[in-house]
Amino acid sequence: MANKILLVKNEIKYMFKEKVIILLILATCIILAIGINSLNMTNDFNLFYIKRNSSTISFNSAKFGATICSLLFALFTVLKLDKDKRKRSRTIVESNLDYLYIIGARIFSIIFYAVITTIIGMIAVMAIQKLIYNIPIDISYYLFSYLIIFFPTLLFSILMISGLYLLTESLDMSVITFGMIFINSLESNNYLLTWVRTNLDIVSDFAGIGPIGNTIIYNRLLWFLISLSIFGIGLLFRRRYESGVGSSFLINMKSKGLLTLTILVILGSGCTYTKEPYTMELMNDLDISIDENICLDGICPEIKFDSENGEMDAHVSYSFINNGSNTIKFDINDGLKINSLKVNGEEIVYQKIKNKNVIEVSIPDVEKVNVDIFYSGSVKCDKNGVGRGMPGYISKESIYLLEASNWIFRPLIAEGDMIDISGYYIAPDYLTMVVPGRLVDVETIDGNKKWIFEYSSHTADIGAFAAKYEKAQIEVNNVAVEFYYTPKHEEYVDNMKIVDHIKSMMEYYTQNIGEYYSKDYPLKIVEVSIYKRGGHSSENVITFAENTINRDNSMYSILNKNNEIEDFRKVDIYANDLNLIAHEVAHQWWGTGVNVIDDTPWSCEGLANYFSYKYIQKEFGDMVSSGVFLQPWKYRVNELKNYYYINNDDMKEKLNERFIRSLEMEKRQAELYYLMPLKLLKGEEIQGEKVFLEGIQGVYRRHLLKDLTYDEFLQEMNLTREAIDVD
Amino acid sequence: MNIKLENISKKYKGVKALDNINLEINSPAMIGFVGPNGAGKSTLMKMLVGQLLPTSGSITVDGVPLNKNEKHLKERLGYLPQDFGLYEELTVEEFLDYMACLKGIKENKGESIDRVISMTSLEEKRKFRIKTLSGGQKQRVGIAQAILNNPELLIVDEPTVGLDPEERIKFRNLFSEGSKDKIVILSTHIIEDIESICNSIIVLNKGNILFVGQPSELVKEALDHVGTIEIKGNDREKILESEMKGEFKITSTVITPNGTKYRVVSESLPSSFEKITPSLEDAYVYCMLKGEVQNGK
Ligand SMILES: [Zn+2]
Repeated sequence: MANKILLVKNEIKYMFKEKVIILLILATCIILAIGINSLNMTNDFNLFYIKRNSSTISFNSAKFGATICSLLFALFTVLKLDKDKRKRSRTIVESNLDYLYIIGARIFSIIFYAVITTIIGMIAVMAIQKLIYNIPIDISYYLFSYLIIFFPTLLFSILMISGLYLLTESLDMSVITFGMIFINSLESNNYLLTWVRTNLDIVSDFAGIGPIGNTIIYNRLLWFLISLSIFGIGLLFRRRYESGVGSSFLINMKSKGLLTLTILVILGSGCTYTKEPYTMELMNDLDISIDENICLDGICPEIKFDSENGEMDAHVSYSFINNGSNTIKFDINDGLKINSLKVNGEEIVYQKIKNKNVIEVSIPDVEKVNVDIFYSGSVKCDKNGVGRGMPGYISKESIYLLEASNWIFRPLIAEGDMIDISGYYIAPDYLTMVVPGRLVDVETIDGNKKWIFEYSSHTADIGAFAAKYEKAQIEVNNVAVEFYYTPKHEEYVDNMKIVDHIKSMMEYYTQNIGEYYSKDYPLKIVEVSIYKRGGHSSENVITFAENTINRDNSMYSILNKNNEIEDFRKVDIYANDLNLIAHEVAHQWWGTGVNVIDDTPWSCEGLANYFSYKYIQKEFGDMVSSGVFLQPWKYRVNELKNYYYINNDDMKEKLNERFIRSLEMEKRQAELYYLMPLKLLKGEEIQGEKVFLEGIQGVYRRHLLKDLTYDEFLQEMNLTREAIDVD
Repeated sequence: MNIKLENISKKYKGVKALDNINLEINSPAMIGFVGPNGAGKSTLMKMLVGQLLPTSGSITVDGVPLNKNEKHLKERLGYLPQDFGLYEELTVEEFLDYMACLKGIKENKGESIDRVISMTSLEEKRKFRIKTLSGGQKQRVGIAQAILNNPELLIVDEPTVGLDPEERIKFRNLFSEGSKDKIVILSTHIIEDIESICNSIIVLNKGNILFVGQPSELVKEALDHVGTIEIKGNDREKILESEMKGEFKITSTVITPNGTKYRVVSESLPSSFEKITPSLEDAYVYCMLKGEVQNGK
């Protein structure tokens, strides 16, 4: 043992003498420093000029650094392992001791330098944050970014390329194979596979590490086992006595310990991959068959959130009107375990449909059916959605549950005219809960608050949002608007006049479309974390991701003292942010107020985009609205013509279904979001803005709280499909 | 130290590089391994240092099979392979310091390094990077690392290739000095190298051991098989023809005032030849010749 430590010390000493390692450490520091601003170097426009703080600086530098330094360390490692072959010094070295010790000592020394590099790099970035940007340091983000993201990436690279080198005994082959594993990680969206730089775009300032910490650590565990497996396999095939792969393997296999350990880590990696506990396949869009013979009448959710453990405990009562069905299907979330299920008060056995997150419940052939489901657990999301498109999470600092997560099991039935929703959410008292509909009462019960609400809605889509919110209460034309945001972003909200904009959006829509659909329910606009990008609107609750109001204070120069736009350099980002909110607010008119029946390209998205565009045009002028919206829309619509694969049936047959599906989805998106507003603008051009908007006001009035089809719209607007054709 | 090889064979892709070798070596010994290139010398050496496994047969070191005793062997071994490279970016001193660590030398490391540097006359070069040294100097660094741990078993493979005569003599002395209480195995295809220093000689050809014993015994075997003849004028053709037939082997040709004087080695020396006392080199040639004849049968 003592000798082995001496060997490692010796390697460390001589690596240091070679100076390459010093260069490597220096290069790492430079790369990490560049990485601080790496978000602005991507093409992810929505993340430009995000406010710098410990979470962004540490994560961005570590992510950027991990990507490049893993390659550098892999190269360094393979060159060190190949050294004796290159220099023809192996026979001399091997005559002194088992060559395995040399391999081991070299790998340990490189890992030692990876640790040193991590520490020095982390200190360098902290120094830049403190001394150059003058931002206070929150060490926990640094420990997360450097000890859980940066260093493990280096470690995995070192272990994997060592394994590959021992296996192939070739510098080229091992580098190429490693390169393939590396690229595969960069191209994947699956959080389990993205070992190089995680699948996060950014660490949320709003929600912190909480919602994604476990998955990142799990990814690290998985890849630790995978890289150990590759290393173990490499050791098993390590060439012995100048023999080939096969005979060397037979010799190495005699080492029972190594063989057992390798088999164990391989099995461990397999198990870790398959038994992964945090995600599931969300298959909402696949083969949902709605049972039209039964409809939902009321729903009563009684939920208790255990945010400390990221779990919830639910009792949800559904009341249905049954017109001859004998089963009801529910879309469920795989992370929530059903403890008990009662139909009209009697416990029954339900069926889980194979390979789907759907359960089937038998019901009696009576008109009124009540189903009570008791369930608990933590919400799972899709593997590709971790950190980017999480429809739901419960964490200590915040709760975000969108209907799309099926956190309230979704009955696959027709929705009635009106659904009575009443119930409560219980959450720790430090959290402010945003409930759907109207908040009836808040009770405090030992450290928790009970948020009681009621709502009469035409969908059962309800969400739950909580954080340590600041709340701005405004009133626009007798409609109460509640704006929830984190105090961390208060300065930006104030400086960039976000509340004023919300107010003026409401006014603009009221004036140009009509009255807000309800006087009973306040409109709730809620900041949520970036772990779900973009915005969302359902019933009277709007959410939007934090990046919208968490930009750098260099953005403040956009507005002058009189709140007029003065600096046009970053105005497109500001306009885009406001557009996101304006789009979701417009959904309160088109989506919630009027139920727009999808008929591609017709949908509520086209109307929402048209009106948010109009709002931005009014606020920022033609130059901005055209540059940020019109031009990109036209470009995307033009691209539609190039969907050769979809437009050509012969080709379609040859391609795989998934690819076609994703192309079709993309095409549909472009039609809903870009083509339709362009058509509406064409209509406006034909009729003149005044006549056109008056027409729309009429349509809104007539269809408020009712459906609106494309044909009805065209007819009432005196338009035809041909007239608003865009080429 | 005792090394025992029993029925050692080594095949490379079906071709026998070593064929049923049996050999026992005890310390002290100064052994010369001779044989032409490709005779199997390097293969045998690699086996002795535990870097190659025999296809069949067993090697034991101090009574324990080598594959279970590699550590024991390597702790006592100094080895300089025929074809080797060094860490050229290091200085002589650094390289030896690095190797000392691999050899597990903890105490008196500096003294050991000083000792081998002086033995190989590298004092002036100790602070120089190895890449700046000449071929002979690098060879000396190779030797220096091999004797750093004062090995009980020193194996050097073709150590004098590329050295000038003076360096060669120095080397020979270096090995012979060290052989008093240990085993030194010197492999070479140059008889001169071992003539003066080895007390034991092993002749190897085409994977077979042709002779094991003292050099004088090898010479003794060649008695009556070495002779000279002086040919005048045109008879040269005839003698070359006879060599072609394999009747004898010409070991040297000297032009004399009267014609050409040939020195030959033969299984059965024709009576026309004048018998002379064989040199070790003659004896080696005779040994090879005999081996070929036997193999021919
Ligand atoms: Zn939308």
